[in-house]
Amino acid sequence: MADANGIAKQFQPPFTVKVLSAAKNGEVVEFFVESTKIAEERANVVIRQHEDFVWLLHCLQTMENVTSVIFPPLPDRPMTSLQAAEKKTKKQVGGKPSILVGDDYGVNCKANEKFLNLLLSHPRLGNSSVLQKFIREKEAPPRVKVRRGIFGVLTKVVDDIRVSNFKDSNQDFQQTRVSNEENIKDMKQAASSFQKIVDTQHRISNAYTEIYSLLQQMAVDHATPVFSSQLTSPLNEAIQHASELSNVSATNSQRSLGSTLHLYAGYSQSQHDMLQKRVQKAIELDGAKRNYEKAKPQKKTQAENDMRKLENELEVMTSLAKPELERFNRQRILALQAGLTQLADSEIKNSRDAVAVFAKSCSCVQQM
Amino acid sequence: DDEEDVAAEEQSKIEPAETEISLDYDPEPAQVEKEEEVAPKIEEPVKELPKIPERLKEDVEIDLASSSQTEDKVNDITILVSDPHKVGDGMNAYMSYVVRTKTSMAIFKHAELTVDRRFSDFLGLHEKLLAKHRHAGRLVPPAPEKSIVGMTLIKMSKTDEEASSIDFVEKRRAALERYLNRIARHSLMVQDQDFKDFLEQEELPQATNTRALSGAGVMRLVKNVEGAFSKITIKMTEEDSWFEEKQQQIESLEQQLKRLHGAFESLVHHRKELAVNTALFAKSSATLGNAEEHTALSRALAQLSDAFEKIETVHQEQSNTDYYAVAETLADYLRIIAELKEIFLVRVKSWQNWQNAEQNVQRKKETEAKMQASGRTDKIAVIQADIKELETRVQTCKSDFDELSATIKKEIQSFEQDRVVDFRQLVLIFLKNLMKSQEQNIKNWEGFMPEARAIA
Repeated sequence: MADANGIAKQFQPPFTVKVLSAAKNGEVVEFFVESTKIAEERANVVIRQHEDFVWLLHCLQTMENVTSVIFPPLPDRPMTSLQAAEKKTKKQVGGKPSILVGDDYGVNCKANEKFLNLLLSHPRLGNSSVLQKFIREKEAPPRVKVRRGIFGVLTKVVDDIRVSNFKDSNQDFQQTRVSNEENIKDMKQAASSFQKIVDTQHRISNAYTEIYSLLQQMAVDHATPVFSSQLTSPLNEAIQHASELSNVSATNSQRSLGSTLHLYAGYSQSQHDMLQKRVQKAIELDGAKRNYEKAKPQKKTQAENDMRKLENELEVMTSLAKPELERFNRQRILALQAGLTQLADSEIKNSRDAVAVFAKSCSCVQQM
Repeated sequence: DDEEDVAAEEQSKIEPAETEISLDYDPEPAQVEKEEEVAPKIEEPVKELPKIPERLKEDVEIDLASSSQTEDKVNDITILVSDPHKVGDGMNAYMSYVVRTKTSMAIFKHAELTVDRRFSDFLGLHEKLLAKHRHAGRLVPPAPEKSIVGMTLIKMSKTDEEASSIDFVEKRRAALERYLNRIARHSLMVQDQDFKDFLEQEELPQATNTRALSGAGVMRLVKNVEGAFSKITIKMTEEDSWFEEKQQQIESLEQQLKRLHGAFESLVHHRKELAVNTALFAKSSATLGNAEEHTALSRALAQLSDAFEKIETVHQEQSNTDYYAVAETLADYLRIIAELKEIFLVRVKSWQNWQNAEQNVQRKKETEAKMQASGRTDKIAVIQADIKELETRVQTCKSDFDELSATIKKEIQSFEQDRVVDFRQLVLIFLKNLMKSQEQNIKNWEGFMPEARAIA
């Protein structure tokens, strides 16, 4: 895929995808996935559930020729239960509210959209038939539940320990693994603390709304309200805007930096998985080498074949991992940049609007 | 220790009630002018005191003393309470404050006065003012609340710095300042000798009657119980519709203030939370920046951390202003309303006295009539003399009641005017604060933007 200068040509995704909206259908949340083929006008819409995405990722991860691919992390399952709604309400409103925060699948839609576009723009995944079927075919693929039995989890844990103790002979990879371990921790922390900011902003928005409702109610219920009608008007306007401001800031923050941090916290884990596989291969190779050395003459050839095979596999993994890591890193940096600039942009814009409103209210009161 | 006077705590508790008050105060042209001239003066913080948050002083302080009074007269006096410092050790430790007065009023010894006062001194002053003025129907500003938790924190703090930095100390300092300025705003009370002594005298006799088990403390407890009973038992036939209306208005006002106060405290609480979360993220960002290998991104993350630290400061300041300028003022007014209700009670008792006197006359007259009927003419002269005396007594009680009602009427009118001024100021500060915070937010993000753009 490289041109004459050895620089990989930028891969063009064959489709672009939008996840328009989502709606609850009984207990299931249905996502409306719209895709447009490159250079075509007409868009195609299909309906998919979270389980379909799970199955898609599983198929992609188990197909041919995905050695050393860093897969985008699966988006969060949309919440459907009453308990989940209560939990979200508590975070966004605080205390014991009487009304629950509604089901807003906007965040899930955006996350699913991002997920699909990331897959489509990956040079080795974008053209896969599984992916294309997913976004084009009316009928969802048969949903086979991907089982992760307890066995799988246990062996994974044992593997992890063995793998993390393995010292890579390749300095670069060793360094990458170490940074990655650190990065997973840091990103998770950053994503979580940023989310707390977003939640608190929602709480503040609600607090302002409380005050606004109180003032409205008092104007109606009491013959002589606390603030004169002259004062109440600019005050109400300002408070209402303050509430909106906090809400909008929270939403924009989540959409820009929040979702990026969350995505790359998960992506960091995927990177870890990819590096893990390579190390496991190296460990296997070490085992094969020892076998070869210890092998009795009649087994020698077989042992040597095994060893060579593993050597090749490791070689392939390593050679594919390098460009993948570069590509991933580049993507990560650009994504963070986008998230940060979007955040700064929206904060500036929203604050400018707010200053105008508050200044007006101020001068209104000052003139009284 | 007089700081832990639990019985006295009862006095400053806000009692539940409902009030309404007329807000349709239309200042006459002359007064409008005056208000513009004297629009609550923002005092410059006295420069030698680094501990007063400068911004707070400038923006937040409602200059209570120089707002207009009923007689179109303005008291030119401003009082600052500052420099909280710990005195003593262990269980005997207490907090002392510097009280600085600046005034052009002739009734004071000097134009500038400086003294040291502890919390019990303030309470002592309050006791004296109550004793002198409440029975005459004058509205004595409520004293700041006691706090056992706060006091314990102070006694347990190890250094002066630690003691002064406790939130509760700042809250109390601000409350003491508002308290003194409210007294200074009152045309009569500003001249009170005890008040003058408080501001002028180097040493004050230690206020012993604010202690828990003192005689005065026990008396207070008894009076409170009495008071509670009398509220239930005394019914007054209100003949003055003005008073009836006012009481309803005050009840309504109290109701509204309670709810508003709760809502603002909630807002402050959440914004403080936001400040904390912002600081946590700033740390996360710094950690990410440190570990990041890509130079430009690393720098951007470090700058992001700085930006969020600045944002944290904005949130802290905003929540402080909302707290001191709004929430605490609303709370003050709830306490003032509680005191207003006490004065209404005083009036009711006065009315009762008058009614009792009338009844006494009635009884004597009945006795007189009986004597006439039974022909006991010998004692009649005595009875008639008694009746004359009792009738004079009725006159005294009535005029006492009328005088009291007139004073209370004036006090309430003054209260209403002050409230209009204070609440307008409150709204103004709140709105200015909203605007300022957003302006700072713009600056912070505009500062960061080029760093983000420079990443790739």
